[in-house]
Amino acid sequence: METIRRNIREFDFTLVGALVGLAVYSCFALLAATYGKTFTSDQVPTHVLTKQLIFEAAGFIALAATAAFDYRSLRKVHWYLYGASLVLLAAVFGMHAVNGAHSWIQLGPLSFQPSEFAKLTLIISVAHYMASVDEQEFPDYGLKQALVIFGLWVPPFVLTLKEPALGQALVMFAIVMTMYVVFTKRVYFVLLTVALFALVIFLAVVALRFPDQAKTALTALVHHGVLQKFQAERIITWLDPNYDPTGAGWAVHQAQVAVGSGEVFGEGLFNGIETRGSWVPNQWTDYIFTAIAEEFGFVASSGLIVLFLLLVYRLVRIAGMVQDPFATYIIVGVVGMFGFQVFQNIGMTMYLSPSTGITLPFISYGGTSLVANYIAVGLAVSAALRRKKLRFH
Amino acid sequence: MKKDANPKLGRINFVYSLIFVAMVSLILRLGYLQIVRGDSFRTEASMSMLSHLPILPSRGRIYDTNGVLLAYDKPSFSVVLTNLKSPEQDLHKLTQQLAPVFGVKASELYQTMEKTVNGPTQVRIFQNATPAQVSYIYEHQSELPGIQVVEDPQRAYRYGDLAAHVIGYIGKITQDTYDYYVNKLHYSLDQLVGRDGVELQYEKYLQGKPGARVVQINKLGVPIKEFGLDPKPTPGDNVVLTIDAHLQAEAQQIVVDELQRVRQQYGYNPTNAEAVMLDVKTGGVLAMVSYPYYDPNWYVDPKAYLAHEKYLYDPVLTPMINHVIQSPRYPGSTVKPVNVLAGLESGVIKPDTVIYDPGYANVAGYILHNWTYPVGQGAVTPDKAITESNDTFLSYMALWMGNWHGAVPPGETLAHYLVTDRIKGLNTLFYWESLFGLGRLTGIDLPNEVAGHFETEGRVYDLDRAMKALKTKGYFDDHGVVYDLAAASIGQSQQFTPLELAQYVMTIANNGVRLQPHVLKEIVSPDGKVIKRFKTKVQARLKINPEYLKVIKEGMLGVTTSPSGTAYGSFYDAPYTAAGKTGTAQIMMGKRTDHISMFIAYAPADHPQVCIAVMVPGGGESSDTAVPLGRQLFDAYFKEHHEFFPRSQWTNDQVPSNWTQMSAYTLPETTEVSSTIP
Repeated sequence: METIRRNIREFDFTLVGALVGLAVYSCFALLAATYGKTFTSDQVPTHVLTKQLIFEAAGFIALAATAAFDYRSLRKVHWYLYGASLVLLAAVFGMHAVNGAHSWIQLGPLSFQPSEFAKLTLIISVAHYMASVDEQEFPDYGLKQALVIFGLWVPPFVLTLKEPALGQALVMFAIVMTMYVVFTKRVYFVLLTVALFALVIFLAVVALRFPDQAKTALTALVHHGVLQKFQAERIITWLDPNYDPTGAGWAVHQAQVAVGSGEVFGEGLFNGIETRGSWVPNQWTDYIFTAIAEEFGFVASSGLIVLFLLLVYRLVRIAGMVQDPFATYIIVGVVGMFGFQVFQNIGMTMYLSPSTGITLPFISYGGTSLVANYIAVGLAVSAALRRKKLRFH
Repeated sequence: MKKDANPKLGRINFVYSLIFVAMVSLILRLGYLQIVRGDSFRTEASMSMLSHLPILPSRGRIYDTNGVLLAYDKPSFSVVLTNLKSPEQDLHKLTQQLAPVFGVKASELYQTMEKTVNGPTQVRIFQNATPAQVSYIYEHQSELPGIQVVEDPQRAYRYGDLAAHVIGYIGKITQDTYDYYVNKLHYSLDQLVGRDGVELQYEKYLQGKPGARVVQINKLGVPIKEFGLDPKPTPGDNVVLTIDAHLQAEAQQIVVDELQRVRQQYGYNPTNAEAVMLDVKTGGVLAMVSYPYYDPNWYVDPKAYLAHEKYLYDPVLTPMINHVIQSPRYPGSTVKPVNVLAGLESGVIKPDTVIYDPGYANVAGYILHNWTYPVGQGAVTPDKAITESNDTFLSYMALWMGNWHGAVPPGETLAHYLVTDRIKGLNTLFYWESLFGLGRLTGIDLPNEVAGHFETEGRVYDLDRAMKALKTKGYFDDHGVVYDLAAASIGQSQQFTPLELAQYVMTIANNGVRLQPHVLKEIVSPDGKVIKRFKTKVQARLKINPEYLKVIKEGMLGVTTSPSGTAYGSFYDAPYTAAGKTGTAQIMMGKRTDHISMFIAYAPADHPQVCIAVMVPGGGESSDTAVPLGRQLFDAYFKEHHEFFPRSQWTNDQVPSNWTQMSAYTLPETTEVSSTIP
């Protein structure tokens, strides 16, 4: 009884409220993004909204189940999970490619995206290792530890990159980097911070001052097989919005026009010129933000970003309250994952970041990513419910 | 630090602050795009994602003088390509798919499509699509990005080849008119323009102004939302002609029947025939036939055009040429009335002058036989010269006008005579002819009129230059002979179009008032307001001695009423009186000597209402073809106007309901006339 009462009292309703808000956004966005698009070349799945509602329900069940489940037991099985995710990541290469990428495992009518779960298992395994280092009597945060951490990161990263799913692979990098920033010793932290700012400044300078040289360099990378041509073109498109506007630059250009045409209050549901006309590709998945921005305007789309910030804030708040390092690292990993994905996904529609194929968490259509994201939040909730409390009874 | 706080709180807050900055930067960027630049993005979206399909205006209708509808627009379907400038659209692929559907050459279709690459983004790639072609496009819409079906007005000529040469036809803007229509008048390439006849002459009234249909399209070019017409197309103005469709139909049938008759009766093989009837009071053209003719509907339907292309460009049949206004021919004796008038006015003859005709004239040693009466007509007066078409009288009269009285005037050399007195005689004759509109453009409101001309020894004789030279220098270098005078007097030294002859006889009927022939009655706006009414144009009021005019008019009346008149055979039983003049010109058709059968006349003789000119090359003697043809034209007119004929023979002013079964409608394209001269 005591546990239940405490659970209810301690339960983070703001967090759940944010998730419900995101679910509502998702429904309206999907409605807008798929309305009237019955022609075949866009491959709009049938009954998008119904399916998404089922996924949302499954997601909330997964969230509740994960919350009820003691996250600490994951430490015992993390290798199995990690191994299983690698096997699944390898298994996709035996499957049919969808849109040129081996990202899916088909099981009858259901399809499953292993990389979504690989992100979670990566978080768990890295969190476990970082926690075990923390828990040593004389923890060492040196190069050896860094090597182990990045050693855990490499296999799923490489497999995902080979699908090819550059976006997902970069999310894995962002996850590990976020966790490492929290994990590592002060000197490395300072160095990393400096490096991060240097990177941001470097990218800004390259993008704004030397776009041509950068293009040449990217072309060379394609030539040497480091990058796929379409991947390089996405970066070039970001560097130069006028690059091949009817070809490689088409999607992002249309995306930005769609976002911009939303103006303050949007063009209204089903009235978006770009959205209704299907001018933005994959609008129910990767480019879903453009549907929200065009049809509901600045008010609603900035509201969505604020909602994401609220979600991240509530997660960070939980991370600040728990004392279990394993829980801390998991939550930090999840926060890093959401933060990067949201910035990257929304940013690419506005030429703020290069376009990569990743979903907008909780909004994009797709069961795997939705359920995985709910599980991720569920882990945080599980940690919040089981945190040690210094209480006087 | 609180005891229950996480030791990593600082780092966690650092991560949070990074994410906070990232989210804020997203919001800032969003604000910049949506609020600062939102307007321009929305404009860009509307510009490219809203398709402004040009909607062609419906072309003005063409009516006959009694309100009979001749040409109108009916709805048809066109296929429009919008260049989406998108990777979804492959013009080559579209061409491969659509060329077999339209039944056109892939290379031609691609050329049309290619215009959208650098030019206007939209072009009509196929017009007048069949229901099957339209439904193919609807069914395959998703495979045909940027392809749309629009409703276009399509020209229809209700009675086919009825008055085809007057109405003309429409077609695409051609290379040589591109500059005028597209660059100067800003037409779209899709607009069809008049190519001949009234369609060309009154193009600017008929055309109207295109509008645009604003449609939201998706990236496959499929319309998803209608925004209506903006602006609405403005229909063209309606043109009302002076043409009387009933009379026109009758005239065409009369021509066809007469040609058929002379082929059977005389074994002639006329390939062309022209007949024109003018309203003497206004100069309005009531009927104009240039046989053989075409059906303007062929130019609307590419298939029909291809089926008739060979016929249209047949070098002998020349159905595309309106010979009434474009083919000057030898007028023969039809010029005699004006020449007699010239003789009277210049004083060389008097109304009672008598010339003895032994059957020939001695023209400076050359014997010119009298065509109509080779045995001679004895004493001939001016009016009788016209009535009986006496060559001898005209020849001597013309020689006298050239101061030739059997020999070179005393004290003159022949060489000097030929460039002075002879020129003076020719000029007097030709000048009087030109006063009646002969050898000049009539000014009819139809495109591409060709003026007749004068000639000596088969070379063009520039009357204006000759008159100027004679006035300033006293002579005119023209290498001709004395005979030219005689030849000019009997219509062998000039070539006039049938319309010029009609204007000439109309001027006689009007006692010297020369009116401009015209086909336009009025232009009426779509809401029924008269925009422009053709006012009778007086080109000249000739000063003619009424006594002399009476002489030639009586001579012309004699042509149809005197038993010795050259047209008496066809007019002796006419319930009305007509005054006219016959003509038979000897010409070479290929290697064969042939005749142009001609007749000009007006009726009724005392109070003229209408006049006609008929020309049938290869039609034999005037009395064989042209005169009976002319008689029937007058009959048709008076029957329609309920004059002179008994009520039982009256007709209405409508095109016969069985017009499309009549041989005048069907025959020109199935004509059995051999198009090669034997």
